Amino acid sequence: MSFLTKLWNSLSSSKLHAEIQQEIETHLALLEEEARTRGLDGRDAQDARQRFGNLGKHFENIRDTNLSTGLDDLAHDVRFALRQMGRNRGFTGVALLVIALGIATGLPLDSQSAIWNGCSERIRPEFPGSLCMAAHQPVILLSRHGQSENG
Amino acid sequence: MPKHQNDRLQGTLDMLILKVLAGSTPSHGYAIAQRIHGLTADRLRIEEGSLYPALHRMTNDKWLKSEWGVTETNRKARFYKITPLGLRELEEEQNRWRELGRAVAQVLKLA
Repeated sequence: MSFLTKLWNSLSSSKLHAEIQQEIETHLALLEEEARTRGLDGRDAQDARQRFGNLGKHFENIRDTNLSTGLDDLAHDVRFALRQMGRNRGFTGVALLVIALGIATGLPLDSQSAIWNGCSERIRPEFPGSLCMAAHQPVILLSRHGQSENG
Repeated sequence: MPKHQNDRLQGTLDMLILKVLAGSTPSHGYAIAQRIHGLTADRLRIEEGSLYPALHRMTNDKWLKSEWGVTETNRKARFYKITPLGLRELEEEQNRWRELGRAVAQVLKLA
């Protein structure tokens, strides 16, 4: 069962609860029917009713266990990932660099962030050759200015 | 999620349920329990409190498929049937069980 399924189950517990209730009711009814046809006093059914007790509660426990197991699994996965990253420093460095570059180039494309405006207005005039992009014109200025300076 | 192969008791209950369903038409929980009681001359009693959680867990794991229907006496019940994944699990669990049985028997012979 995926983590999302568990989460969904825990959120849609009332439907689950009603279905389980129905199942238990049928089970008890069948026990009673059988007791009647065999001419018994229905003690089996009464016993079962007692054994079921609060089975709904029991199911909730199972669901909660599933959910917390899911969270434990998640924490375990994160710890494992961090350990692996610590072991492969080179790979981690390259991956982080790629992610950083990706974010750096992607950010100005869809946001007029304060950081960016600060960059375009303050840094650009002073450092015309810096790696800087305008929010409305996503071009890496390094190459343009570099060309014009060279040419 | 890891399978429950280390939990011998739970694994055994799963195996019994799967085995019953593998050889029958879709059945509700009560019928499954009755079948196991009948086959073992009541030596094995399936507790309802374990049966239904097991059925639900195995349905979540896609070993079983369930559908609402009505019993012979016209009561609404959920009918379970085994899936191909469940059949494979049954096969594996049977092998594990036989293995365990052989290993325990060897120890008992020595002791």
